[in-house]
Amino acid sequence: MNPIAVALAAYLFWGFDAALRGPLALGNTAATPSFMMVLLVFLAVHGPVKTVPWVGLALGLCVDLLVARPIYDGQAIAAIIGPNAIGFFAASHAVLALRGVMLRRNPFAFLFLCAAGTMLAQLVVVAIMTLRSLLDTAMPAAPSAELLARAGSAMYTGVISLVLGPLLHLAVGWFGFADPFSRRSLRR
Amino acid sequence: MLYIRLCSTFDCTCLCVPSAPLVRRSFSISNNPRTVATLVIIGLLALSLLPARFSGWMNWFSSVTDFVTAPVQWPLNVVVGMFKRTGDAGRSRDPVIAGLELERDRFKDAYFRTVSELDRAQSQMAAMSRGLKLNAVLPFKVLPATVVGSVFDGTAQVLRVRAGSRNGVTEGSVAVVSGVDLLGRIPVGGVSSAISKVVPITDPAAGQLSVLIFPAESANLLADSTPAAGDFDIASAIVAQVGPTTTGPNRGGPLEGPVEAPKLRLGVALARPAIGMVVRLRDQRWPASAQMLVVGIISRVDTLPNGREQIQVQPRFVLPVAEVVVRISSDDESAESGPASPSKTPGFNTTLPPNAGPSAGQASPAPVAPNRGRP
Repeated sequence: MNPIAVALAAYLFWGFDAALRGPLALGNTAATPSFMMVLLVFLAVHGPVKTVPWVGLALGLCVDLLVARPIYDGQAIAAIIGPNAIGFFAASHAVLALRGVMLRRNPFAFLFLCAAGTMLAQLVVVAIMTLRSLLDTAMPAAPSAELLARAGSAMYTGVISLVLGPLLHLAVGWFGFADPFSRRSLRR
Repeated sequence: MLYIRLCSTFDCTCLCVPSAPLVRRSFSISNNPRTVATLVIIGLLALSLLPARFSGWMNWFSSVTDFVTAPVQWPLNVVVGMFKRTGDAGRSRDPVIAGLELERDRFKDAYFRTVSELDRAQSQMAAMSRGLKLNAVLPFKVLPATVVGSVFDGTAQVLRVRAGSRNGVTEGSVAVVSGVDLLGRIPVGGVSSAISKVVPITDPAAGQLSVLIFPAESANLLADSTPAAGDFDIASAIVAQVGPTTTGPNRGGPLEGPVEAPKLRLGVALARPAIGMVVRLRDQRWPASAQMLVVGIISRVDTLPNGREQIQVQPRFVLPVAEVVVRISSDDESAESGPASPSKTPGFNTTLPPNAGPSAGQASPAPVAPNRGRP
């Protein structure tokens, strides 16, 4: 895995998350795509087993820093470091476990992995935020509404991956991954 | 160090170090990826569950993020801005009528601020008679600012606007759309030097709002008749408490809440809320510059099992908006009626004196230069 390419891609997708999640929200719902998750799934599909979870942790930390949550009835704001990092870490492990039974270049397999990875990460986030709301009343949680919104986000991320997946797969060489469909790998 | 390198596994059989178990253990903790991962996850979980009053330092990292992502965000926002809808969902589609409605709303805003100021002056007079020290006139500035990002996570929604402390924005300032529609406020910890974060009133965590409804005021331009004397009397207005709905996955959705029991007055018919009426903010927890701003339009009226009426209020903006106007509270006002600091007041309960909130400041707010440069 080429760390410079991964860092550049992570920066780019971080910016996408910051700028596009709001405008691309589905109608009047809170369903928004997660670009960072698409990148993580791409890295997890092709990357080395030992490195990918740490990359997932780093990407999740970036998402945590991006998200600010209102507390005390909206009178203050707080960034909470941890929930997305743990969620992305879990998602990376799930994709690593599933990638052996998936066709890596099939766009629908990639869609499924993106949707499943996002859903798992969001489940972890909702669980942590719900637990947090029990311990600290400054940030009340509405788990059912959150789960509905985040399930929509998972589906939406899967749909977005249909566009981003082929683009990322074109750049497989830049990331230092072996292309499973290249002539050299087919000869093996 | 050489010994440590040799003893790389638990089942190492070399007898290179007398205290081998200790060395092996310390080595295994720092190099076993699973152990390190477990420790990191436990640390992150502890950070996640840290109470809000101890986690303020994390906001610094979040504000640094704004600067780091700005080079990618900025060009994307320019592209998105070309296709973005404007935030005037509640207005007429006819441009002529929409223009007239906007003009009417601005006049009404000035009028209601005057009414609110008059009400505050009366309260001052009553309080002065009791010997209390009160504020003088509370001015505010206005600052147009573009929205550079809107981060949505689950149902949480926070807008980032390109105006920060170097432009004079303070915590507790209010963001307004179309000049008179209340969008939200800039919370404690939401101001960095170039970027401010706005929590919209539709965010599920935004809390309840105390609002007023004047039965004689309608959002429809053609149905809005010439007001008679006493139509906009604050004492006879309908009072309600509305808040964001938290039962569904919607964002920017309607606010809803119960109408308070009306005051019975001899010879005056009971006012009831109706669809199309304008809902205005009248809440002592909000700064004076936000009082009487339009919260939205009544879109539904229900009767609860206990006989009380519940209204649903639809804001006139559509998230994410492209541009906002920040009403910057003065220092005096922030100290008196802005959001309280968490360190000063536990639980963030604002410490307002009765009747100190609803003063709308000067009738002619002083504009300041918009911040249109890159952060």
